This record gives sequence, structure tokens and C-alpha cells, in this order.
Amino acid sequence: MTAEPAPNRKTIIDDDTELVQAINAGRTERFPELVRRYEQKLYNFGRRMCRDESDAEDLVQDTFLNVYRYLKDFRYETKFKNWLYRVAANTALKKRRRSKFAPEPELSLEELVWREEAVASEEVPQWARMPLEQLLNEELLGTLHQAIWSLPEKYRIVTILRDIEEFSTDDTAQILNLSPANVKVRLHRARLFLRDKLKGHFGHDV
Amino acid sequence: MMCESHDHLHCLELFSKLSEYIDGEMDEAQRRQIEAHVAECVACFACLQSLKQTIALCKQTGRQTVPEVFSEKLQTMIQDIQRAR
Repeated sequence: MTAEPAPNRKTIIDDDTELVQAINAGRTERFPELVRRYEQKLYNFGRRMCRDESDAEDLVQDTFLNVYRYLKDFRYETKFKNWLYRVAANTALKKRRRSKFAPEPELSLEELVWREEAVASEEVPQWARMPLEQLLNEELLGTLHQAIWSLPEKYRIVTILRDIEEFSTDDTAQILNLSPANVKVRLHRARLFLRDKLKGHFGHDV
Repeated sequence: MMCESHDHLHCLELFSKLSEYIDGEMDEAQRRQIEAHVAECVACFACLQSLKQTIALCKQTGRQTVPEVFSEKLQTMIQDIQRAR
């Protein structure tokens, strides 16, 4: 049965609406179409969230299972893609909560500022001046992936959504159920953290 | 972030807003304040440029293709749950 939007709520029509409505109307044989449409994006989201490839695959699998289970609850009040990423984000964060690891540390702006003061550069570092095509190589990408994986999860997920998947601040806030201000704070700290790691990669050329 | 010609606290205050500036999420007055400051303060300018480059690099991390075996596994999983209902 199709989930009808509540009265007086804005209905969002996007490229996925027809397919989602069809599945919710009982044409579940079209669900594999939805999987094919988003498997690539979710796989990459998973690979960036999880260092281990099999964890990434589990995340994608569990996300699609949850989408299959809860699609009927989708109210067409957000873009379907945002709802899908919300399911993926919740699935990822739940996995973390179930794991044996200790709570993740906060990234303190004061700490990042302190580090900045210690190494403040009076000129733009060479790596920040070079064209990207000259700068990019496998080693640098490896460093960047490691740096993203070493971000505490709540910062990592914001970085992935904003700077890699290129969701807007408002969409990211909606996906993660945070305020836009909170998204901005987390993103700024995460970017400073990644910049520190890149500085380390380029050694003394800070 | 220290610069001799500027109030150090001002640098620190701007430091927390650089991402909003880069993302174009500031009002006009704040944007002009940042631009005026980085035009004078080399340390803040250097910080801004390296932050911009960090973001640009993140956008270049590329996409991996889903392994065919995994894609097939997903389709099988869906078929299984559909059969079970």
C-alpha cells in the first residue's frame, strides 16, 4: 500500500518517486531496480565509512534490507535520496554503538587552533598552491583515505556527506537529524583535522 | 594564526568561520570582514588556502566500482527476502 503524505505537508517529487510509489503499491519486483540505482553510491559511502571492505559490504547489505523493510514508511516529504542516506547513516551509527569500542573522542577546536599556532605558516604552503592534477597520486590518496578513516565517526560521516557526496548543509542536517549549525561545526573541525594530516604528509612544507 | 599587524583574537575568531566562508554560507558583511582580514594577514591567508586545497582534494578521492560479485550478492539477497514473504 502506498504511504500517502499527511495533509498540509509538502510532497517532494523527484526522480525516484515513481519507482518508490510503484514498489509501495505492491510492485516489489521493482525493488532490484532501486538497488541497482543506488548500489554504487552506497558502496562508496560504505567504503569511506568503513576501513574494512567486508564491513562496508555488510553496511550496504543491511542498509538495503532496512530500506526494503521500512520503505512503506517513507512519507515523500524529503528527497528519497536523503531518506536513503538517513537509513544508511543510522545503520552505520548503530553498528558502531553495538561494537565493543569505546566512545569516540571529540575534535576540539581549541586543540586544532593550538596546533595551528604552533606551526602557523607565513606563506601559503607549496602543496596548497599546486594544481590538483600535479598533486594527486596514489600515495596522497592513500594518506587522505587513511585520514578520513581516522576521523571520529560523527565527524567522518559529515565530511563524507558534505565534501565527498556533496550534499548541501541542509540536506546533511536532515540526513543526520542535526541542526545546520551543528553540521557546520563538525565539518570545520573535520576539515582542519584532515588538513593537519595533509601537512604531515607533505612534511616540512607546511 | 598569529600575525603582527592584527589583533590575535580577531584571527582566532575568523579561524572558526573559514569553512562557512569557503562554502559561501556567510552573509555579505561577514564575507567582507573575512576578505579584508585575509588581504592583510598572511597567516590567515595561508590557512584559508590550505583549507580550500584540503576540501578540493577530498572531492577528488574518486569512486570505486561495485565488485560484480557483491552486486550479484545484493540481488540474490533481495530475491531471497522477496521469496520469503
